[in-house]
Amino acid sequence: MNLNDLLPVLYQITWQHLVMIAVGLTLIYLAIAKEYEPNLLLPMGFGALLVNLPLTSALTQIDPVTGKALEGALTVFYEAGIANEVFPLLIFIAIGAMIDFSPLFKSPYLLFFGAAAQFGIFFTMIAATLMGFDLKEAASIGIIGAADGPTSIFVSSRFAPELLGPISVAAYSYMALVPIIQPPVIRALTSRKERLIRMESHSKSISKTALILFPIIVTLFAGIIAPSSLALIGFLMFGNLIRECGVLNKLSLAAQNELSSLVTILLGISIASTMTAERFVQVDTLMIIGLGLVAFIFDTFGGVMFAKLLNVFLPANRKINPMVGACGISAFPMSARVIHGMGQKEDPQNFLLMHAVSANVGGQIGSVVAGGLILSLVPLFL
Amino acid sequence: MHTDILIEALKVTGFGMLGIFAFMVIFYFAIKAIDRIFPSSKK
Repeated sequence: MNLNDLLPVLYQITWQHLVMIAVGLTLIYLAIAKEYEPNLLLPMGFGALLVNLPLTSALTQIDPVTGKALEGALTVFYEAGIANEVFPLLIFIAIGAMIDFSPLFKSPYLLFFGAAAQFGIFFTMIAATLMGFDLKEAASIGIIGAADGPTSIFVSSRFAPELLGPISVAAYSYMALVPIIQPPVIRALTSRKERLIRMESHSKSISKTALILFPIIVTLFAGIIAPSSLALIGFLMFGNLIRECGVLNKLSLAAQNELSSLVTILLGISIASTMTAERFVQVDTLMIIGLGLVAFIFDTFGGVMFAKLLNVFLPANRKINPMVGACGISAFPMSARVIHGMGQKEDPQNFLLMHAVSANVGGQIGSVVAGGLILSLVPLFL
Repeated sequence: MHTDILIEALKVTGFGMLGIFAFMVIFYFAIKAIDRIFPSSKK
């Protein structure tokens, strides 16, 4: 008996496996030491270790003796929860239960920033086609710009499952890096005078009936206009209805905490099943990581420039601080906090938080709508 | 071939951005209508 028989893994390991183990360790480091989206990056990082050791029992393997498939847990999780889109949809229930739409009722016009700041999705999709990706792959890469992990997973698992690993890593990494990505882009696009603009605050209370009706009406409209988007929007709104109805407090708390935590663990570690060396160590992965950054930059660009465009038509006393436009991305509440912090840095008496939160909530709706529209539109042009 | 994909991507972009804004217009008026029909009783 030689060492190959005793430790076959050591003889089968390649440099690509070692690269992926390094990627896994880096994700674990970023999750623990830097607290970059630890809920997702830690399971993904650990999962990357599990699937990149040759002969791993975490993935389905063919038994060389019998020729039968030996089912691996992560392959089973992937098939059970990601290939059929169940895990992202369950996460949407949890997210819906966490969202408070009342800031939108106070300043509903800020909803439009949730549309403008999806520009990065489409800009990146075009850039990806120029780099040689087909339309489905390009749309899946573009959706990183939704700044919304579950939407990215939902769209890419349908259009480009082979790219799911790098797309998820890019989406969650850049969401964690919003405080680093957005400020320089905003500063480059705005003058100090614009960053000092103060916005009027409204403090009004919203009726419970209004908050209950909103998710129902949104679901009905989405279903009538774009049925393909209904699963995405509907599950989000279902979670929100559980929160707002007032008679399911236990379920609402369970969705926000236990459901969210459990599905996040399963989602993260299942995505890792796609992070194998054969799939991940490719030039495409580097291109996707780069394009993800482009998506976040152009989301910010879209939101800021839309605010500047509106300011051309608005009277002097009703101008919008263009920084608030950047909150139209879905990274909630990080983007709102970043913009409030930037506003306070320029002028400690300028309180942009409420407006920023409203635009940010608009972004949460906008990202899901964008995901649903891409699912509807791309097949029409193929 | 590549130009075809680019043209398709541009079409998806055009319809996509228009679609998102159209959805937001609907949601905007839905919020306005709900808020008007069911105003809060608290001041």
